[in-house]
Amino acid sequence: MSALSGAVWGLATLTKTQAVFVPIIFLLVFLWGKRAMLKAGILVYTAVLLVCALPG
Amino acid sequence: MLREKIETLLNHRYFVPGCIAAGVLLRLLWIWLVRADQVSDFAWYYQRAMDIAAGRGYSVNGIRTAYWPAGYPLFLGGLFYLFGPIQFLGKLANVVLYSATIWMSYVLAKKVFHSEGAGRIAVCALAFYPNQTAFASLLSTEILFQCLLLLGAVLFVFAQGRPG
Repeated sequence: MSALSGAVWGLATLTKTQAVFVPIIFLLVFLWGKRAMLKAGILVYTAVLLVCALPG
Repeated sequence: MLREKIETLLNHRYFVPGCIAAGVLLRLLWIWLVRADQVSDFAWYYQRAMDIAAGRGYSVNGIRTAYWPAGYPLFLGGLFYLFGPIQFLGKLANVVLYSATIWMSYVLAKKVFHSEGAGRIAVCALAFYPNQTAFASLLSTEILFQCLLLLGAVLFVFAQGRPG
């Protein structure tokens, strides 16, 4: 589910570039543990990057 | 007295679907009755979408571009490719995106604030906010962006506490 949200935010980033900062806000607000934040962050941003690279 | 009436209305079982239906109807009326020419950014997105639908790619005068993000022209270009380059189709897509956005704002507000009332107020505000209604007639990137932003947020918030 986290990766899926990252993929959707990736599509949002393709629509408006500033959306690339949205995941970090959600990670900081909803995940307080360092490990959980890092794990979810890697998942989400990998999905964002993959989706953003698709049109190329 | 007035407070009781508002509470009864807000807690009615058909309040959320009623607000979404009214919001959709309002936007449909708006795009049907108000003629909004696509100018500036909106004309640019419209033109790029037509180029994509015609197989010319994301380009300006035949030269590939990355001047603005490709997401919305790609979405609109896909629609034009499937159903033809009809401007009204883009406006209809806006209404569909808005209805999804309103519903997701309800889901998100309810989950984040742990309050049914917060969700219902969010639905009511978004359904009848004039700016949100007037934007439905413009081929703008904001509507798709808003929908995707909320979808991502809903998925992320619901993912918490679940593996992966």
